[in-house]
Formats: sequence, structure tokens, C-alpha cells
Amino acid sequence: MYLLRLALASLANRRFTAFLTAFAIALSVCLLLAVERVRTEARASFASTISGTDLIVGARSGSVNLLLYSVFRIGNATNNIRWESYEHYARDKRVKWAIPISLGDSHRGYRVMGTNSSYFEHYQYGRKQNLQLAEGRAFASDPFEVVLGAEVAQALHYKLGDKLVLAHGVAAISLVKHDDKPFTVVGVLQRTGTPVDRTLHISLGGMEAIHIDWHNGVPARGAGRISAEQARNLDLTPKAITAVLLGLNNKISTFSLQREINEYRNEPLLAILPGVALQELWSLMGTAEQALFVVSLFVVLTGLIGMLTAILTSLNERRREMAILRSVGARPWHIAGLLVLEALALAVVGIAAGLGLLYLGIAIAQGYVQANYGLFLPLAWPSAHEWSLLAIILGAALLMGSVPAWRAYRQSLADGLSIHL
Amino acid sequence: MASRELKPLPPTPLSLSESPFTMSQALIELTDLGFAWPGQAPLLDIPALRLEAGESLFLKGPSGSGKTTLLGLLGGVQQPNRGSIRLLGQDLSELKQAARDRFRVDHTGYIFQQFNLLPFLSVRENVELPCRFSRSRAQRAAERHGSIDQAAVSLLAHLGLKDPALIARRADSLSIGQQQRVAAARALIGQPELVIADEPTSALDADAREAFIRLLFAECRDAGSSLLFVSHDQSLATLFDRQLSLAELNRAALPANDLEA
Amino acid sequence: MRLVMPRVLLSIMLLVATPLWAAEPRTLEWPQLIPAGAPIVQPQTAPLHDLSQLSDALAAESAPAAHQQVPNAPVVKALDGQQVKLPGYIVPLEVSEEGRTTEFLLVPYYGACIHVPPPPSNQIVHIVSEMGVRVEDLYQPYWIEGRMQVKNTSSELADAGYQMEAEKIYAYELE
Repeated sequence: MYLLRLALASLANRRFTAFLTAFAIALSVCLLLAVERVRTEARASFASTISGTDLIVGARSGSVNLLLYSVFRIGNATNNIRWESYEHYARDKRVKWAIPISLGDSHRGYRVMGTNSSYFEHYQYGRKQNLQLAEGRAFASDPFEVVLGAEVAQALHYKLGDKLVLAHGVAAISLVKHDDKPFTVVGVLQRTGTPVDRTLHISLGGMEAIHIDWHNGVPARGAGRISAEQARNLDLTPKAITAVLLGLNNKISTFSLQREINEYRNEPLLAILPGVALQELWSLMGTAEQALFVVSLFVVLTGLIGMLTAILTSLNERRREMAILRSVGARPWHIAGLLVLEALALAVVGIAAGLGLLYLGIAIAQGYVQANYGLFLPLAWPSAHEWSLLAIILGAALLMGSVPAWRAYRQSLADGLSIHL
Repeated sequence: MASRELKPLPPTPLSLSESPFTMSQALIELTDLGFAWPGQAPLLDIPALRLEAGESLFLKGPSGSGKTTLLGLLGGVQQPNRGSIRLLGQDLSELKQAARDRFRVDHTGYIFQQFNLLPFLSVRENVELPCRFSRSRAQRAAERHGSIDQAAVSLLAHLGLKDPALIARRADSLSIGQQQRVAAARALIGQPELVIADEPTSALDADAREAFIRLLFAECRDAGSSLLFVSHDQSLATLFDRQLSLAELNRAALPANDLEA
Repeated sequence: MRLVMPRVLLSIMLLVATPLWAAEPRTLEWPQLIPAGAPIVQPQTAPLHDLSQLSDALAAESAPAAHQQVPNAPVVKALDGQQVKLPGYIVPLEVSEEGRTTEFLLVPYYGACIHVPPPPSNQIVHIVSEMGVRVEDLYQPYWIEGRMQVKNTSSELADAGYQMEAEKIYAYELE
């Protein structure tokens, strides 16, 4: 199309302004897509973290809170639950499997979770995928064995046989360590893309052992200290754990069991359905997500208005250009078409550059985001949703372009062939 | 003479004769033309004006005399309030806006005083512009020279611009004199029947003026085009077949002591 | 002639429509999932037996737990294999990466207050859906269409129950 060639040549003549306009559009498109992508990936990541678990039981707090600390390792439990409560329900006829978990310690910022072998057997993520060991084995009888999540092993460069010391509390910099009882790495899990990667797994016995000589929240000193060797010989059955993951024989019994647990008279417990709690979490986040989306839409609009302004201001200088075109036979609608094509060209370049910026940004920040936030941003082609957003932006640009096009149309009708301004 | 194919015009056959005694089709035929800008006093009131095929006409018209408006009317850009304008037998007011635009580019080439060219296109591309918007001119150019590209190069060569490097350069990198010659080439490509030149030499220095006009004449004769040359420079009038004064033609003209540009 | 034509037309329509009716899923209502003549269950009303303890916040906990009244609630065997359509609320069990709920429980009411026991097992349907449904709002009821399966396991471990593979899931709009 010759008009396109003319439009591009005319733009190239004003290339600095054109570049700035396209760049503004590119930045705004990049922002919009980044916001959308982070939102979608966050949701996907949350959804794929737990699978196949029918109920999560913890001390009575809030359902979203329980979900967050037990599955996502975000936040902390308010209370622990008694070992007897766990045993009571683990033995229940309706329960197929029960995974006890114990939280509260950390290692260099990564959380430590105490559990038993049923975790490796029954815990699932994504689409009913079980955990797989990349190397080594799960912990066995010795309480001071630890299985690392993939991220922990990679980031801290641990391999099988390494010894590490756990710290009390969950801060990245720990001031109180369990250095008298070091743990040995016996296994590393395969990457799951979930918070499991960022967790260190020890046995419940191990969790009990490192706190066995603590009284009132303070490690023992002097004679009160119990060495690792001594601890091995003690009964390391925990008295309390943080939460229990339950898998049921028949999902239809979910509600009745949930109600029963919630009304357990021996202890204040809370049982949640992970799917429901997740939905509640999303509805909480929903408002913030929408607000963010609307803001980025406005930014795109600003970019497009910038383009509109740039084209409109250029119209005056280009009256001569248009009169020349009229004199060589361009009809007024050719002139209008020229301007619409210009707007489209700018928008297309802006959108393409925006996509490029997005991929560049993801490529650079992918590792950092994954390590610090557990969010994996894939370098995937735009989704159908993203394509439709881009199409809408293009349509808006077309609409914007029709404003100067109309002005130019009227102008060229009025000016005719006279280039004497 | 290059053969002309049938154009989508009224059936009267075109005559190539230059004899004023033949009852041939006039190129331009103005009858009782009346025009006023909205809300203003009548600007043009011309009872008759005629231009024959292949004729060169010098029209003396200082700025403000309505010559720009007259050219606009001849180009079909404006419509007269009264009377008729016939180009190659076609009454322009019978055509709709788009058709008039097409008719204009199919049959007319324009040369203005300055700023004729699109600065961001090359010299050659500027010359080729009319062929992009008029299929008939593109066809004629290709028939005569082999291709539009060849036509442009050939015309530029005739007008003294032979250097290929020059032709490929941006149009705004040439001197005024060179630019005017490029404009002439553009006006002539595809052999339009009419070439309208509006003060094309005013921006040139005296030496260049006559040379330019001679080149223009040669090309118009070669293409068989009529030339309507509008200027206030009386000294050039003698070069032309005929000369007229817009002030005399136009009954609505202001008295002699009007402003000159 | 005037009377014959509409009759002929009607019979043709009926002939054509009947096979359509056969394929049309049967719209169920929740009470239909409870077999007629099922033992009348003593409804457990307020968990507070002693009104003088109304102000006592712990009274609810000291009351007997409102566990499932009928652990193995009887099911309507005749519904097995039938193509049915049932409206209900979705309680998600499995959510895919794209945010689609692929396995869920369908219940007749949702977010019911704590004073009433949860729905018995014959008022819950365990549904899987390959395509899944994007559940934006837990309080939005949906129509589920599919072939009902009635499982009656003999073992005392599991509760008997209704299952379905959903063929169509769409929102329930109030007309």
C-alpha cells in the first residue's frame, strides 16, 4: 500500500517525536502486560501449590491465615495443636492419610518444617503430582537428618552429606541458633515450583530434639543442656504440632468431618477446605488486583493520548505536505487514511516494543523474583487474554488516529491546492 | 505523437490539431464563471476563457487578483457559484468531489511557486507521485517509457538532472532551481493534457528563469500538453502563444492600483 | 381441512420432540436425592440444651458435637446412570493452574450458619469436570448436567454417595 509507505516516510522525517511517542506506548503496554502476567502467575502458583488434600487442620485462627502458613509458609500460626488431637483424627475411619507438620524454625531465611514420612508419600501439588527426590532419600530413624527443597539446595549450594545448623524463628538473620545439634543433608527434592522448594524438611523427632532442652523459650545452659547424642536416645514424640493435612477416603464426608473437627471439644481446632480458603484468599486480593489493572489501563490511555497530541501538533506543520499530496491527486480520504495509518504504525511499533520490553524484563528479573517471592514468571507467548488486551489497545489507537484524520480531512478540503499559508 | 487511449470522458473525440479554426475540443472552456468566497464580495466574474489543446497561455495575475481561486476552480477544488468549467469537454460540476479529484490528477499537472516537493521522499519518488494516485497517468508513463521509473528518469534527464546520485537524494537537499525542475518533471509525468504553472519562476533568479521556461515548453510540446502559466512577470509573456490579463478578463477585478505581492 | 392440519402438525412435532425429550437431562431437585421412606431423622436443632447457659460462650463447645447425623445416608439407586441436571453451590476441591475448578462438591446451600449441621451425604454430590469451571464467586449457584452415578460401598469406612462427571456447567440465573 503506497499510503503506508508515505505514512512511514513521513514519520521517519519526524523520527525523534515518533520515537518518543512509540516509546511511551511501549512502556505503558509493558506495564499493563507485566501487571497482568504477575497476577495470573501468582494465581496459578497459588493454585498449583496444593492438590489432593481434603482438609487442613490447625489451631483455631482464621481460614485464610491457616492456609497461608501451613501451605504457603507465609505468616505464622497463633497456636499449636496437641499431638493427641492429631492421633485422634489420624485414626478416624474416614481419614485415608494424615500428614502432621510443625513449623517455627528457619535456616538462613528458609523455613524449616517438621513432618513424617507420610509427607513424602501423600503430599501432592499441581495436578496430583507427588514429591520426587532428586537425590538421596527421605529422613529415617536418626532425628538429625534434613531433606532440602530444590531452591534451598541450589541457592545455598548444599549437597548430600553437608551439615547445617537450624535457627530459631523465621527471620533471615537469626540470632539464636541450635548449633549444638547440626543436621545432615540426606536428600534433595526435585523442583516443584511451589513453596516446597524453599523449605527444609526434618522429622518431627528432629524438631522435638532441638527444642528438648529449651525451657520458657530459652535454650538451656550448663547442666541443663542435652547433647545431640543424648537426645537421640530420648523419646522424641512431639507433644504439639502446628497443623495436619488430611486426605479422606470419600470426599463426600468432607463437610461432616470438617464440622466435627471444628466442634471438637478437647481443643479449639479449625478445619478448612483448601479450595474454599484459596477462593477466599483470591477474593481478598481481587480488589487490589482490579485497582492495579485499572491504573495500568489509565497509563496506557495516557500513552495513547500522548500519541494523539503528537500527531495533532504535527498537523499544522504538515499542511504544506498535504496540499502537495492533494495537488498530485490524493483525495481527502487519502489524507485522512494517511494519518490513521500513522497512528496505527506508531501503535504497532509501540506494542511490539512493549512486548519486547516485557520479555527483556522477565528474562532479567526471573531469577530474582523466583528466589525472593517464589513466583515463576514464564517467558511464554502472550495468552489469549493478553492478545485481546493488545487488540483493544490497537483499536483505541485507531480511534485516536481518527481524530487528527478527521481534522486533516476537513483541512485539506478547505485548503485545496494552495500552499501559500 | 504518443497515442492516447480512451479516457472515461464524454464521447466527443479529441482533436490533436492546434489550428484555432477547427471546431475542436477546447482543453479549458470557461463560460460565465462567477465565484465569491462565502460572506465576501464576488471575486471572479469571467464571461469566457478558452485554452486549446497544445496551446501555451500566459495569464497575468498578481496576487490577490483571484488567480489562486481561479486555479482552484480549474482544478475542481472549489465549485463556481455560477457558470460552467469544462475540462476536456467534461463539466466539472457534474462530478462529485472524489471524481473531480481523480479527474484533476488524470489530466492536470501542477507546478507551484515553491515547496512543490515532499521533503522526505527522494527526487525520483517525488516525480512518480502522480502515477501513484492516477492509474491512467501511470499507464501512459509506462507505455511511453517502459516503466514509471524510466519515465521519471527520462523526464529528469530532459530537464537537466541526469546524475543518478542526485535523483536518489532527498528532495529537500536540492537547490531551488533544481527543485523547480523536479516539480516540472512531476507535473509532466504520464503526459497530462494540461500543465498549470503558478508563478513557477518567481523564486528563481533571472538567468534561470528563461532557461526553465524553455525546458518547460520543450517538454510540453513533446508530450502534447497545454500550458497555463500564471505570473505577474510581464517580461516572460512574449515567450508564449497567447497572453491574457486576469484583470481584464475578470469583470469583478479591483481597479488597477491594487496590491501586488 | 382446517382442523386436520394443526393436528397433523402437532403429531409430527410430538414425534420429533419425544426423542429430544429422552435426551433432555432430567432436572433434579435436592429432595429427590433422598429416597422416599428413609428413616426420619430427628432434627438436631440448637446445640444448646440448657437455655440458662445461653450467655455462656463455651456452652456450644460443651454441647454434643453436631457430627454428621446419618453417616451412611441412604441413596436413591434408581438415579444411577441417569442424565440429570441439578443446581447447587460449588465447593472447590481441586483448582487447576489456570484457575479452573476441576473437582468439587455440589451442595444445596452454602455458607450456612453454624447452628445447623452440614448437609448429609445424600445431599452432596462429588463432581469431577475435565474442563473445569472458573469460580469467581462462591455464592454463585450453578447448573450441573451429567450422568449421575450412585455408589453404595459396603465397607463401613466410606460414606455412600452421589458422584458425577459434569458435562455442562453454567451459571444459575434467577429468571
